[in-house]
Amino acid sequence: MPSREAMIEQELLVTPRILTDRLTVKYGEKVAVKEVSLSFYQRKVAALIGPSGCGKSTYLRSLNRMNDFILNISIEGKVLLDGQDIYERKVDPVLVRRHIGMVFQKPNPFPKTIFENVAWGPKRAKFPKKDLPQLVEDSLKQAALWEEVKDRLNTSALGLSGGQQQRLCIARAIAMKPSVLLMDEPCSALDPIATSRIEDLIQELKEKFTIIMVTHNMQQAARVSDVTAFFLHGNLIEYGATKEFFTRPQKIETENYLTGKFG
Amino acid sequence: MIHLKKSWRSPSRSPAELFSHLVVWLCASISVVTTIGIIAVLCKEVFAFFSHVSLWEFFTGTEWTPLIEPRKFGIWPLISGTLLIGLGASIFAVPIGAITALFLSEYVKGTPRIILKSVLEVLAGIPTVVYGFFAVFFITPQLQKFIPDLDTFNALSAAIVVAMMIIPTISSISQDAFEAVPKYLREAAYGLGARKYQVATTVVFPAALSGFVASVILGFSRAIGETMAVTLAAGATPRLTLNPLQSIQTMTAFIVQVSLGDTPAGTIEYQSIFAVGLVLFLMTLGANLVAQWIVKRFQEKYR
Repeated sequence: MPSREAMIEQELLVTPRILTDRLTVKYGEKVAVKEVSLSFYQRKVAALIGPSGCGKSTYLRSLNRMNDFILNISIEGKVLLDGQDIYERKVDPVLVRRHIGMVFQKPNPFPKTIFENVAWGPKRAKFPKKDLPQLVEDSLKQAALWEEVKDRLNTSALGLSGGQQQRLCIARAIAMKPSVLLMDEPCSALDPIATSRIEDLIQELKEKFTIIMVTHNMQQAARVSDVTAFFLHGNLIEYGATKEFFTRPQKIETENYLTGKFG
Repeated sequence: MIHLKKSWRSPSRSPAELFSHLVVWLCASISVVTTIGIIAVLCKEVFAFFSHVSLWEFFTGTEWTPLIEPRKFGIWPLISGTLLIGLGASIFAVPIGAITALFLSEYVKGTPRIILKSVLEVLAGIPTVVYGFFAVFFITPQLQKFIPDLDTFNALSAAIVVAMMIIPTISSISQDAFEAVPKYLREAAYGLGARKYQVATTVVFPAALSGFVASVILGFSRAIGETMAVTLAAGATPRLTLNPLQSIQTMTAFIVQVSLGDTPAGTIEYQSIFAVGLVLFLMTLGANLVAQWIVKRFQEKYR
């Protein structure tokens, strides 16, 4: 008889953690994402690929309501996080973002100390002050940054290298203990060595979080992700297990993109 | 051979280039020359003034009666009057200005923001003399309903009205500073599940601190340099006091008083306004230096 925890774990692998149901995003009249239905599961890394302007970033930002700040945006369809529609009127977007963390394209640490960066989110969410040092240490360890910064937690985060800054941003996001982690081209501003460290980190983090990443780098999608979705002109063209996706694409557009005929 | 040598035909020695260089240089030096000129004129008269009045009397005396016998030239009543107005106005204007700026940059978008901003600009465009009689004929009578001991001319009304004048200065410069905080810092904060006021107070405000301090100092300098409104509202009673309910006199108001009278050039009263002017100038200069130090010490550098 498997334990209760194990059963819940099993359940999470077959029930999507987060899914979109015919999600459409418009900027004024312009349709950026058109009726996209996708499901994302626990312990899986999903990669969203496609050429610039295909709607993959817009789609990603709709998953934690980061698009709310844009004027004239309209969103139709549903985004369900553990079965709850995050666009329902009664839902507080601030709470949504506490459950769905985000890492951005350019490392964007606050101009504060390393410690303050990681502790910033939990502090705002009224996390008990005395437990902060432990939380900061755990988060930095999970982000594979602890060894490099443990002796200078009280120095400015801007003194770190680009790759370290991005790992700090990851530590900052996971300090909120989210269930989903969104990454918007997290390596596009980094050099190859820093990139490979982040990719290794993503492999470790997927044990704990559902990870959805946008990338313009097809090799990266192939290396890191379990499932891949291909976007083109706001449409979802193809979605499938990464191995299949890259070796036997089903759609001609996907094949053309993968073979470099456009993009 | 390729021609690379400097000559009057080469790009960096061409007449157009030299001419524009000269024009730029001249324009830039006008403000420097003006500043030096003002200081020179001030110093010349001040030197004459201090040949009659001792430095000791000027900087330690607590009575200022240059126009009536026995004449006393202690600057402190004027300094206290000026600071009373400057600090008093800042107490009202700094929080209101800062909150207005945060509101404009973080809370409102689109048309309401444009409307609010233009209303503030109108406030900045009202002639100062209008503020002056607004204080005398409206604010003071209203305040007297609550504070019966309030003099007809008093520092409190003057400080309130000066606060109204410097709120646009503080809020518009601060707003520019707040808006210049990069979008990616706000996104980082919102992405961590922060509320709007948390983003405004713990990310935007600290990152824009230098601009905010600059706006406060500019507002303060404007407050202590403000002339017309305080001359009307605060009266002409040089008095060493921190009681805002009484009539006082600021440095600027004294300068107006002497300049409007028929004081002949070369007299001691005439020279005294230069001494007062120099002290005022040094005070604003000091405020600016303090501001620069604060900015250097506390600024969060995000670049």
